[in-house]
Amino acid sequence: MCAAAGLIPLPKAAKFLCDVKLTPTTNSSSASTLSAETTFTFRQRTGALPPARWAPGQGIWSLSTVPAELLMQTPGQPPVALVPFAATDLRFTELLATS
Amino acid sequence: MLQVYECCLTNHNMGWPRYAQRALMTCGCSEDDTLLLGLYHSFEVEKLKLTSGSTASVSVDTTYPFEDDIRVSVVSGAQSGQHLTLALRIPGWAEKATVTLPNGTVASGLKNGTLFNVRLPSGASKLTLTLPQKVWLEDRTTAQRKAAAVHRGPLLFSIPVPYTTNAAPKYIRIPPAACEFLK
Repeated sequence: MCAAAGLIPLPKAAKFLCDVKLTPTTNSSSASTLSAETTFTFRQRTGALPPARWAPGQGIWSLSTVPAELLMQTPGQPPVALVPFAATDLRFTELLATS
Repeated sequence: MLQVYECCLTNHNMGWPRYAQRALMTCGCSEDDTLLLGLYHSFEVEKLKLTSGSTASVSVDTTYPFEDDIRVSVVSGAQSGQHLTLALRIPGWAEKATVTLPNGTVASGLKNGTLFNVRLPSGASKLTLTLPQKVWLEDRTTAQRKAAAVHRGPLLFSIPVPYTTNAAPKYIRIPPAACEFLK
């Protein structure tokens, strides 16, 4: 069950070893600059299987198997393929407001 | 397990079974038979028991969010003359959503951020919800930088970040109060 006060259960020891360092920011290149002439193309991700209905027993897709990408093209710059990062579809307040 | 283990939202993989589990909900708020289809993905539910005591089977076929169409099949076991209400969630981002009704007519002008109710007769019915996905930008400018988030429909996109692992062993001190509950 959850720990008291919503705390994540922790080892009793007040110290533990952290072996992963997270880089808080990643610099983007100038190729990611937007302009009024930027166009976007939604397409199948290079090397990925096309979207398909899940078969029984098949797992839900993960970042490594996401089948689509968004190609961003700005004149004078090389294209950049953006990948799905998150979904903003779960807004339960909509349900509460209308049900 | 899902019936008794409903905590620790921060365990991110727990979100997936919950997402699937809550795609289709029954409404206990009235004596009418109402189903809410709120989360869109492929699934099948057979002989779901409804408020009136009748049953309904629902099948959803889609590769959403990688396509715009969500095809829904419902077999209502309601008695002749009675109906089943199917409420479809129209996401807040979805402008110009349409529903192709079982009789072939297209309902348009659906308001985003609301529910659209379809009355279904007894027996088999098929309809298609279409949520046209377009690219939209969200201004994320701050005092330090100019930036924009890129969305397409329900998806937020990112510049691919290469996977890297840097070993940086070090100790992190946890406030003693955080471990009080373990005593």
